[in-house]
Formats: sequence, structure tokens, C-alpha cells
Amino acid sequence: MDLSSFGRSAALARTRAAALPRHGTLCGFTALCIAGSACATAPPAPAGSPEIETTLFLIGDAGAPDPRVVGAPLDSIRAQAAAAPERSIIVFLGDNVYPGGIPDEGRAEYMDALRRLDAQILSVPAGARGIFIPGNHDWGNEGPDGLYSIRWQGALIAGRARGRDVVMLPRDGCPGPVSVDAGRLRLVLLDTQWWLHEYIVRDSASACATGLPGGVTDSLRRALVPDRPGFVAVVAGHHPLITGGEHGGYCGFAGPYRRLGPRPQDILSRANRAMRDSIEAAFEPNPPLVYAAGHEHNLQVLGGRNARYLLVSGAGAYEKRSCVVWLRESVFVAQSRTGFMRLDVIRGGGVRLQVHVYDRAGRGGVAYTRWLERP
Amino acid sequence: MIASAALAVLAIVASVTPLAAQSAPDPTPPRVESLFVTPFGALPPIAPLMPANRDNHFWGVRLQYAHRARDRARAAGAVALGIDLQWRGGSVVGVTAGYRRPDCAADPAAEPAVAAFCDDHPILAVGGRFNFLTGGSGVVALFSDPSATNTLGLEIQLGVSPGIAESVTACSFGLGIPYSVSFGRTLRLVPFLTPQVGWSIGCSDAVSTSGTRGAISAGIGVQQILVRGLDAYLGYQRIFRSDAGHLIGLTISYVFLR
Repeated sequence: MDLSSFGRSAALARTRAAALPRHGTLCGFTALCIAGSACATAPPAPAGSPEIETTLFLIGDAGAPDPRVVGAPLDSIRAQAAAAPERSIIVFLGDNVYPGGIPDEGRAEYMDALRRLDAQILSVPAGARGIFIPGNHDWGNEGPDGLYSIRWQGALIAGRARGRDVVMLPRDGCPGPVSVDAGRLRLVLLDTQWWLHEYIVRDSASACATGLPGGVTDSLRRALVPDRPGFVAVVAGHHPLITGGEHGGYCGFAGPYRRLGPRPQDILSRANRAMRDSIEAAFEPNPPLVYAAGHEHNLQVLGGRNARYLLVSGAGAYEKRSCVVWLRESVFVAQSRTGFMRLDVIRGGGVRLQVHVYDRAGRGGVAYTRWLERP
Repeated sequence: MIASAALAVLAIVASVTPLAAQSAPDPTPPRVESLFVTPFGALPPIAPLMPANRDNHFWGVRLQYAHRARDRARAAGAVALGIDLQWRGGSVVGVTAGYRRPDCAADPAAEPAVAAFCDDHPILAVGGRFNFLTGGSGVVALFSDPSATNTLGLEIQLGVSPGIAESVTACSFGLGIPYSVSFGRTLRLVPFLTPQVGWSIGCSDAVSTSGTRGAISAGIGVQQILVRGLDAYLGYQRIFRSDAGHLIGLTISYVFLR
């Protein structure tokens, strides 16, 4: 990894961030912001503002970075998190290494897999926390060696941290949930591929707190019980609960066929439905503010049923960007672009969402902001 | 996507235009009059419904009004109520029931063929709107809008109008290929274009079985008005026949979301 080029890109991102308009949304980015729309519902967060208790960066499917340059999303995250690293958490929402997770050490693809992982690890500045969630591609592209591939990736992330606070959660192919507390925020992490994997998900080396779907949902339900004033729950897993993308049976000629013969990775499959029903049932008593996912290579903000907002932030790599359809539940969508989402948990009340969107040349910035919880 | 849709439109227009040309001078036979008195030509066109999440089926209602201005004083207004079921947030099947009131004042002795279709009568239809392709990557650049969505589908409708004259029932079967593009945030604008073909079906001795005409429908919709399920569509239809006149109508629809 060429750290000098990384630094230049970060400086460029800071310049771009400074050039962002002071109002909430870049309305010019979208052709039409009709009267009554939520174009400017929340002001942008000044970098490092003391009012922010915790900043959560959500980026998914970033496991296909350009081998020549650091992409704008990772670059911008690093620059923004560096402004207040002690209160920044960067969550990589799965599919951290395309196409099949970490291959065997002797294979030619091994070094390239390390490059893909390093690009993300290096976007976590010193003092910030980085959390990698497993995705279906990290589970050996849903293959028979998935459990071992995901364990191997977790070990590599820890081994290549170079002093950074980066970790894979849930660990070792366990389903979770794993809770991370930061002030008012409780971040609950799930390995949703564990539910969908069609090969071995446990062995004699497994030491998971629970290994049955019912146990996972019970633990998830308990993790969402408010235990402090101003409690804010954000649940993160790789697979979305609702999506207007390819995995939802939309987009291109493949859409109808996905509807007719869905794979477990698709919303319409029985296995996927069972997983989502279980997760949503656990949400019912105490709905989290946000369920965040990747999997689709686009950016979506949707209204949810058992979580107030559903975020899909899987546009971490330009080469993987894809289509998305506006659904009745949609609040914001961006397709054919890269980007990430930022959640600012405000001290004393308020949670602000920013969606950062970039084109191929790295031009862009805040395309949408919204108060998910009013201050 | 746009190119293929445009080709489809051109192909259908090209295929139906000769019919219109061959019909001049049109003697106004009753053989295609069923297209005007059944929902195919009596109710306004609408855009493909906005997709919703795949986990549920959604019920919707729609209220439609249209007026067709025709020469020879055969204008007519129609109002209808429809109930739709959106299957897994995508394609729609629905039923429609309404009432059509012709304005015509033809002299039965002088124009028996025209006067035969001047009675008030109910209109009924059953149909489906199936979304084949719903995507957006191709129109993003065109609209400079990363949320733009286009839809190409197929419309099928069987319409029945009993009592258009004494003991006469008119029937029609319609096919359409709707193409729409939606864009904007919160409020969504949806221009749409639907090449159509309608067949007059003989379900009564007084109506021939052989009538076929092409048509073109277009309009613009506004979706998510104040609430996520409320839409309005302004539609126009031109049936390719010299005395067909022009239909303009309004549809208000509401989808019950969960």
C-alpha cells in the first residue's frame, strides 16, 4: 500500500468536504427536489463538532477497491474520522474481500485479497474503531469452505491492524449478536450469512454464545432493551430487510428470473424470508432506530416497520456499483455511484444521517441529510 | 432500455397506422365501437404502479374519470372505481366497475348505427399490469437523477359494457406496453407512454367480432402526494380511427401500505 498516495487522496477529500454547501442537501445533485420534499431536513455536521457524541460511518461491499488509487468513499471516511477519531466508529458492512473472501495462502489471488483488506484497514485512522462484518462473499462466496474463510479473514484483520483498533465482529463465524456501546449508542452486530449459508456453520472449534436461530433472536431481543437515558440502537448486518435492488428482484433482465427462482441471497427466497422474519420479530418489543446493511451496491434510505429506518450502504467500490429502484418505502436512493452513510449521535439528543455520494471521478459529497431522531 | 422502448413504440405505431389510413373515409361501422364504450376507450390510462417491498401484497383503490370528445356529437364521460392487488410489491391485477354516460344526440332514423350506442350503461373490466423490467441505471444520466426509475410492462384488460343498447353488450380486449420513467424525491413525477391494441369482441349479435384498432396513451403522474400511497395521473388516449376524438382523464389511486 502506497501510503503517500493515500495521504494525497485524503487531503483532496478534505478539500472537497470544505467545499460542500452549508445547507442540508445538494439539491443540484438530484434533478428534481419538488416542493414539500425532504431536501434540507438537517444541517451538515461540522467535522469534529463537540456536539457529536459518536459518529458511525457505514460502508459496505468495499472489497473491490481500485488497485491503483484509493476510492473517494474510503478516502473521505478516513479524512472525516481523523477529525475526531476517539468518537468515530467505521463499520464495514460485509463483502470485505471479493470475490470469494480470503483464498489459500499459496494461491496467486492471496496477495490481492490482502490488498483489498488493507485498503479498508488503512481507512481507519489511529484512535478510531473499525469493525468488519462478514458478508456472503467473505464466507468463501457461500462455498463449502466459508466457515474457515471467515475465520481466516478475522485473523488477518487483527494481524494486519498495525496498531489500529480494527476487528471482525461477530467473530469466528458466530451469528452474534455482538453489542458495542458508545455513549447513548448501542451498536448491535449480526453475521446474517450464518443464517443463509448452505454448508457447515459450526465445528468443534466453534465457541459461539449461541448456535441456534432461536437463541440468536432471543439475544438480539435482549440487546435492544433500553438500559440508559437517550438509548439509541443501531443494528448492522450484511443482508438488507427491504431493498429495491437486484436482490429484491428488480433491475435489468435478471430481475424477473430472480423473482421466479430466488437464491438464498435474494429477498424472495424462503431462507432469506425466514432470517428476516426472525430478525424483525426480535425488533418488535423495542424497535431499533436503524437497521443498516450492505449487500446491494447502491445507497438506500427506507422507512421500516420494526426498525424506524432501514439503511442500505453497499456502494463502497465503484466497480461494483449497481441499480436500485425507488420503492414506496424509499426516502432516498442513489444508484450507479459510490458512497457511504454517516450517523452522528448528538450529545443529549438527536441522530443525524448524512449520505455521501461520489461519481467515478471522485466528485460529490453530502447528497442527503435527515434527522432520524430529532434533537 | 430507452432505445428498446422507443423501438417498441415505433413498431406498434407503424403497425397500426396503416389501419387508420385504410379506414378513411370511415363509415363509422359498429365493428370497433366497442372499444369506445368499454373501459379500453372510456377510462383514462395510468402509469405502472410504484414498486413496493416484496414481502407483502398490497391492496389499492382507484377512482377514475374521463371524457372523450368525438366528432358527430358522440362525446361521453365515464367514471369508475377500481380495486387492485399489487402482488409482492410489483405487478397488479384489478377489477373495475363504473358508469358511462354518452352525450350524443343522434337521430335514430338518420344515424341508426350511431344512435345504437347512445344509452347510458355500466362499464366493467378485469385486467392486469405486469412489470417486466424495472430498473434505472440507464436513465440516471438522462435525468441527472440517481433515483430515476424506468419501468417497461404489459397491460392486459378484458372489458364488458352491458346494455349499451337494448339487449346489446359490448366487449373488448386490450393489450398495452407501458413505459414510464419516475424521478424526483418524495413527490415523484412519472411521465408514461403506452402503445395499445384493442380488439372488439363479439359478445352480442349486434357487434361484429372483427374490429381491431391501435391506440396510443400517454400522461403524467404524481406519486406519493402527501402520503406514500397516494398517486394522481392525468392521461390522454388517441385511438387510431378518424372519428375517434380524444380522451382525457384523471385517476386518483391509493395503495394501502403496511
